Amino acid sequence: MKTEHPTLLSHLSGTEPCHYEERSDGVIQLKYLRALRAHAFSTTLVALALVTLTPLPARALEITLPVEQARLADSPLPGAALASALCSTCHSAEYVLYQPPTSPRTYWKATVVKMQKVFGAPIPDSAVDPLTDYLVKLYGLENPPAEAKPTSAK
Amino acid sequence: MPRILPAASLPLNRRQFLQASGLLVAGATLGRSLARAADDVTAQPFANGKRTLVAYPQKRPLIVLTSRPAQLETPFAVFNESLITPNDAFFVRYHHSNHPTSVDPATFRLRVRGKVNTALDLSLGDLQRLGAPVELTAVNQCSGNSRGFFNPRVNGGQLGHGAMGNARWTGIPLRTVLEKAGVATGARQVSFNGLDNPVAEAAPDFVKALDIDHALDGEVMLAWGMNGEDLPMLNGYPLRLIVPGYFGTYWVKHVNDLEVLDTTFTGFWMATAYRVADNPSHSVAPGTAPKKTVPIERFTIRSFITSLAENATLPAGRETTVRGIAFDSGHGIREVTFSSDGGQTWRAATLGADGGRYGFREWRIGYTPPQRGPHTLMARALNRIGETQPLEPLWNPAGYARNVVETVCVEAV
Repeated sequence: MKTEHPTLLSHLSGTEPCHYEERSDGVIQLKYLRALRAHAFSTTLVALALVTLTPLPARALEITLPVEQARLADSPLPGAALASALCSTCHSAEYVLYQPPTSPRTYWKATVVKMQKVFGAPIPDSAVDPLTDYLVKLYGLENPPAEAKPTSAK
Repeated sequence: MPRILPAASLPLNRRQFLQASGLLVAGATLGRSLARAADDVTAQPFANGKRTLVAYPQKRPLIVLTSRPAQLETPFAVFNESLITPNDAFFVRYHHSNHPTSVDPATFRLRVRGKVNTALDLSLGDLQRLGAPVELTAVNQCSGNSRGFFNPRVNGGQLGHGAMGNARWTGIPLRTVLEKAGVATGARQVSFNGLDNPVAEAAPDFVKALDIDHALDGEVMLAWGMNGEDLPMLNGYPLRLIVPGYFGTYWVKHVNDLEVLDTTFTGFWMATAYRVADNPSHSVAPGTAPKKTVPIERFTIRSFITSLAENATLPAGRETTVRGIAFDSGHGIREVTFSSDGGQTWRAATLGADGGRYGFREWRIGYTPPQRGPHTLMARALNRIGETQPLEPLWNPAGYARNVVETVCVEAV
């Protein structure tokens, strides 16, 4: 089922990380495209029902998801911008924020590599170590108690 | 499935589109505003357990595990309100962010293909005309329910106890559909795919498989109804697989593609993920990894006290009715015992009406705290084949299938 549309990644490949931010606009626009189709369809149904006096068939079910609020924390570490751009390509920040604070560097590196190799995330090899460093220092075992805590933007 | 175009090809921005279409009054659009919908915060009782509650479309405020993809946990108090988990409180779990937000039931199709005599392409109406609908009350539970309580902690979704729910499912036996197609000789498994997709094309699509005998057992169901209503979108509208007694990973949502295979399915979500140690307890020594694994399958037996939360107060010297729930993988609950002294002595609770062997079973017991102060309460279930809950937790590195006897500490005043 996943080959029926040009992926966001093909749209993104070769771009600077900051271009990934356009993705959320893309999601919203995709959603409204589908809404337009649903709208056109249900209008047709209403017209048919008036003519034939048959019960209305079920209309398309349409939902609008709340805008995500959680954010990865800013940091002077080189991996911070990479994490904001790359991790959020496929998922929201809670995947990172809610891991046990005891998560060691080996976990974060294995996870970055898993995202790259198994889940097809557009993570260049050169980004693996900076990402790992940022993640373990902000959200894992190498986070000193006084330093940045997991945050959730309000 | 609607074709999705890249954003760059769309001619209108969102505001222009809304103005042009009158969308908000025209369709069956559900959901709140795009503005903040957070309603509350809560804290899971483990480190880094602070969570937000947000009302997603068709849902009351639920505990947000992740917002994209939507992963929502049921607040535990819901389990004391009714044995059936309301649709708007039922947990949500997705693997990929590209899950459907719009489905037209008039154009939805279920395909049945592969090693069958006749491939099928069924509308929902076709499906409902294949035979009489069936109903079954069954618990769905995420493999990783309660993962946050593992010690040592394990990575993954840090869930409390709320990734479970009990619903009355309405649909048609999978067997009826497969018999209509005619399963060819030599079939070994059936794979199940739904409308949800990964964001990255290279990522493994979420596809699961069942052995052919299981798929044909007459209990596995394709369900369109949940507690007498359509499935909520986030629970798999318009059709999902129901695999009674099996972990939720098999309950494929928005299911639209069945393939009968003459091989064992080798997709990522069967061959690599959702696997447990190949030993009777499916567990290993804490901090170690299993040498050999098998796909996770059936629920382990569990019970919970639901009427008293951690640190609740109750009157000393006066009887309080304690109640809770128990469930297993479908053998049926035989007994629930209750301890008010940290597990030294146990008394049998009274079981509620038997609402079906796959559902939550209520239990109740009268409890009079002998004196003021803290008391440690526990419940332990036993099923009809002698399975019970361990007093010490089993451990596995994926954080699956927790079923230790849970403890609630209360204060008699």
